[in-house]
Amino acid sequence: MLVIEKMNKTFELGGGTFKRAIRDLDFTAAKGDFVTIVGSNGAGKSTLLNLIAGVYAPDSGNISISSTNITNLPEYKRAKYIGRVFQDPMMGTAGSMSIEENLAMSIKRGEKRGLKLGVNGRREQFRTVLKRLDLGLENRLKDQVRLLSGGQRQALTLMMATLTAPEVLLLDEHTAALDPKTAARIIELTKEIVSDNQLIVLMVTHNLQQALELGNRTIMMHDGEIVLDLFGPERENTSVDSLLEAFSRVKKERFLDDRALLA
Amino acid sequence: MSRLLFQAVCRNMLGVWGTPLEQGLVYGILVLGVYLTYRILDYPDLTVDGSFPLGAAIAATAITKGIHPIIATFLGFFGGALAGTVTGFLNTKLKITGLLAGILTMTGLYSVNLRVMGGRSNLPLLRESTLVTMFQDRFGFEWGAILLFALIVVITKLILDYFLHTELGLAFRACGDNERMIKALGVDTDLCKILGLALANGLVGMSGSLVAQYQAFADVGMGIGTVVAGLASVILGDAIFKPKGIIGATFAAIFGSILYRFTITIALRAGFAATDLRLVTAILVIGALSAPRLKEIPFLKKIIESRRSAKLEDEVEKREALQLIGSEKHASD
Repeated sequence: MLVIEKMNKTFELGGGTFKRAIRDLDFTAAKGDFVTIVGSNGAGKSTLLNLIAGVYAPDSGNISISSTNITNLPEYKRAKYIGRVFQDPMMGTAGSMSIEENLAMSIKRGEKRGLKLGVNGRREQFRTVLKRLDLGLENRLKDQVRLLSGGQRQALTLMMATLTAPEVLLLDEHTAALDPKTAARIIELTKEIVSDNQLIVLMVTHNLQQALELGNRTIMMHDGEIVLDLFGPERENTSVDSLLEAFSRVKKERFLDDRALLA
Repeated sequence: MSRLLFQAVCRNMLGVWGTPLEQGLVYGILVLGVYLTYRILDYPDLTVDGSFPLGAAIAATAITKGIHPIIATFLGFFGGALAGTVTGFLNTKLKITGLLAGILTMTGLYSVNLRVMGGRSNLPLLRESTLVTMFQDRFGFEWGAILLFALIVVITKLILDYFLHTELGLAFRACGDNERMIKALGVDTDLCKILGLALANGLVGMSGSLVAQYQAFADVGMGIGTVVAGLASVILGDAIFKPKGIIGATFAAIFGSILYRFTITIALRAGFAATDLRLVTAILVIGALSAPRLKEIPFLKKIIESRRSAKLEDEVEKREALQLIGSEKHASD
């Protein structure tokens, strides 16, 4: 259970200007929820994810996961609850280290790290895990990650983010930097991994089709607020067009730029 | 005393303090420290210029006070580690940029080092029993120091190799590679950096305390240029051995250190004055660091490209020849 209550976050842009990125936001997601998040640029989607992950502290409000209040925990201490995949495929792995070393690091997510050898005795487990990706990485355990393609790195990141089954998985446009074919493969993997583990998934996307197809719930953000929360039959009857319409209704004006961007 | 005089004469004959091999090994410990910060943590740490003489000052003072040289050497390690901790604290908690944090610690350490040595700028160890004299008494003058330093540098390398493959060591390496990622995996990156700087400067301090015992004095000015010499060694080792993985890289760092000392000796033989060495070192480092850029200078670019295309043509010819052979073979089949 992920609960966010009355959260606010304002950024100072300098020169006395401020941006209210998140306004009095309330949000609750239960175990097994796969929530897609849509909204135009600057709507607060990434800020929301960063606040949950602890990159910034909120100005006010509370965040709790499984009734543990994590509002004041630093980012590194939240890691045991939260797995993350970033938009940039380079962001989620250490390029100068080998595949097995990257996996060894992620297997100790949020735990104490000691003076035991990191990889020893885990290679079989790593091979099994990598086989699922179906990318042949199980035979390249000792290869440096920087030798992999963006798609392979993103697949590895996804695996690493979920290896220890965190309670919450945050996906921030994790397919946006990939070519369409690779992106589709990563989405397939996301589905597989999510259905295997009972997680709360929050996924930011700019692809409305994807937003409606994936998961069981879609929220739309605008100007730091959740303006639309779709689930159940209502969501099933929503098409990309009606979502776009809802979008422009919300903004009370036509945003041709956004239409072009989102369609 | 006559032995020491002989020792001093020998060293003076070489123009620098001792043979390059001995120096390469004893400074190799320092180079491992520089490797940790520069290559693994990706942190240009200037603390080294202060923690090196700190280690020397602590060990020299301790030995003159009658403390056993082994303990004195470890005290040098802890002194250096403390200095590294200060730099790490300045950088991570007070948010002072990496370079400046190192410079501040280094500057402060100058005064600290003078204090440690009781207000004197030079502390001789001529009549004292040190680790170096102990080994020289045991294994002979020629091999004593080499054996001692080789032993310590190899042990240090093995410990580092092991450490960098432990769970903690992996996290430490990721700290320098991708800070955001390892933070998302639950590692306190601030603590990681502080520990790394402490460990690296500990090695530097230990190297300093051994150098003091080796040259039989500690001097407040002995740290100047240490960072650059350390960098030169790391870069030299990398360029020649092109190591893959940690075990190769620590090996390359030590051999880089030895090669660097040989280079310096050659430079001296070639007629450079001892006072020119720092300039030689600086130019060496500039050359190595700018090598990728040098390729873009039009004049050099032409040379490199003409060579490359010549190589390519060779390759194409070879391949064509092979294909020809292949097709002939095919025809004959």
